[in-house]
Amino acid sequence: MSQMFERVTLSGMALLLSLTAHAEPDLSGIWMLAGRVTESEVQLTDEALRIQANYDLLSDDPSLYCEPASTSRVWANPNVRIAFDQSTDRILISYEFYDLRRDIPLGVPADISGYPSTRNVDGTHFSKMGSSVAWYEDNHLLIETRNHSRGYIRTSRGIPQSENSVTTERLWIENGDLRLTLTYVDDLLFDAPFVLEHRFEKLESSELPLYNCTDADYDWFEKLNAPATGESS
Amino acid sequence: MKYIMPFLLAFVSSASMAHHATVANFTREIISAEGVIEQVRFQNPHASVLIKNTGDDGEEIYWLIETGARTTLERKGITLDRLKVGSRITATGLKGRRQYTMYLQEIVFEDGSTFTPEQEAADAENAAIRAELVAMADDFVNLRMMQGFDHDMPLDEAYLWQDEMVEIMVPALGEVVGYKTGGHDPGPGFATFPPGGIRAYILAGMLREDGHAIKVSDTRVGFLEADFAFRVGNASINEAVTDLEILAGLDAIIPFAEVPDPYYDPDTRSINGTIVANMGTRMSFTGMPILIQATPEWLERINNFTFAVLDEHDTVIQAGQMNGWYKPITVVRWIRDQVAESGKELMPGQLLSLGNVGILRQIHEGSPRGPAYQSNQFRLEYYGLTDGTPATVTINIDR
Repeated sequence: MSQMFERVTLSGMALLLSLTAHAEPDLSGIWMLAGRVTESEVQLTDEALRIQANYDLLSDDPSLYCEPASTSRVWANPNVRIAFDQSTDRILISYEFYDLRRDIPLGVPADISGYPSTRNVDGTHFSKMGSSVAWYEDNHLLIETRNHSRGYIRTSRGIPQSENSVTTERLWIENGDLRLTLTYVDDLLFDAPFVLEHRFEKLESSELPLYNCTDADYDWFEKLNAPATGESS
Repeated sequence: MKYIMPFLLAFVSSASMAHHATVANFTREIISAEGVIEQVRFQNPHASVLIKNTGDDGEEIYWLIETGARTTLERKGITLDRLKVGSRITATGLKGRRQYTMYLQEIVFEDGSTFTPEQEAADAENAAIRAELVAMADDFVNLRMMQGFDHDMPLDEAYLWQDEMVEIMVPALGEVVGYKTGGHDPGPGFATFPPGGIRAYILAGMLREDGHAIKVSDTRVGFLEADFAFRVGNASINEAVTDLEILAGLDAIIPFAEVPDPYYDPDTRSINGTIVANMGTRMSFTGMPILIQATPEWLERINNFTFAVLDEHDTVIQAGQMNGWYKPITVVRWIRDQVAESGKELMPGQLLSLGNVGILRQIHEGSPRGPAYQSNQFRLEYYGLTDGTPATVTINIDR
């Protein structure tokens, strides 16, 4: 009991420090990806190359089932809105894409739980988005995420993420735009950190409409063209 | 496998392939398929059209014609409303990696009409801009503040929208009778003018007779402006090269003053907005024409005449000279070339106002541009263009 109290107290102190020692960027409003996401050279390990070689876009892409393939995939979708709600003890990031709500407590990395931080508006949790904690540092918001389930950072190329992946998202405001640097560290998959840079523009709108994703359901389509079975010749 | 035709590799706009993973789901090969629309799905993350192709042998093949996310399409103003179940179409697009799928580029209907998402988006954007212009024109005609025109586009496109704006205003303000320009003098430029100069239309309903009396309430932020104008004499001006050739295309100097009324929401004013709003041109006053000839002597007069504005007591409010202000024939050439870039030619009888000659007075109290003019007359006189009495044009203010 006393150990738990001590841990909570230390976490609380760290949280207090993080809240008082550093200015917070104002991320309020509705944002949309602007321009292309740039990425560092991806240096895949043999294990990552093996996973990539076995990846079949037509069947393995979680997007087919309205499931976020990774945090990276969700940030990188164009023409959809993203909203932030900053409160005293947490950050809520609402993604129009798949109607995701990412509820991140303020704290220190040691506070990361094993419970997924992201769910959709229907209440389904997504472990591919991992478990996160956030803190402020020098006008930046930092989010560390662990405990991902296997997913794909880039679904078009099958660049994987694993249970071992640790991500750091650094967000700040620059010339009125929201900037995000997303860094993947995973020694099972990458020989060097994989870094993705994003820029988002603020919209005048304050609305975050429902996306209402519908499963691709190619099985239905392929059955239409499948030869009839059970016919006698 | 009837009606499936591979085409040459074609350019594919990145905008049409906005969903990142979509790119990987399709090849670069362009194919076509004919069929009858069975189903239209307007949904996220991919809208699609299902068509059924029936071959001569009765074999039925279903094709899934995919396109962007409903969210993306809606934000571009694209609907799939024209795609009706039962319609026979030919769809063209990028061949999918999944059999019998493609990414939509174009649909051709039986009557030959076409549907492309890009064209739909452009049509929707154009319709939205036109609606803005209708509102701006209505506000301008009814002395209400015009909201800005917040569209990032090249100047030549803004001038095309100015044409549209003028078409909208013609029923209220009459046909085009000339052009006006600004920004060619050495004075401080306006932040909402293009650096090289700006051009607008003069419409028949804007013209006022010499001596016409205006009321302060006839404008919202209007001001009195001393100008200088020519009248186009013949179409040779469109081909003229030298200053004398240009002068030969003009037949008269028109004593000219105007009352612009650039009543824009100050936070939304922009260069394109000033162009599209026709520079807020409200009223143009014309005096008795001074007939001219294409001679060096007339060029000399035009480049060196002096002028002044006087009030009703013949008190000189401000005087100036053309020499050192702008070169009138150079400005005429600029208007001629700018109009030509818009695909038009100058026509005989059209007025060409070359811009203010440095004498401006506010009509309204409290204007940030300066104190309100208190006199009841704003009479512009040109000296040295005619023998004897000066050429004049007068704006009276009925207070």
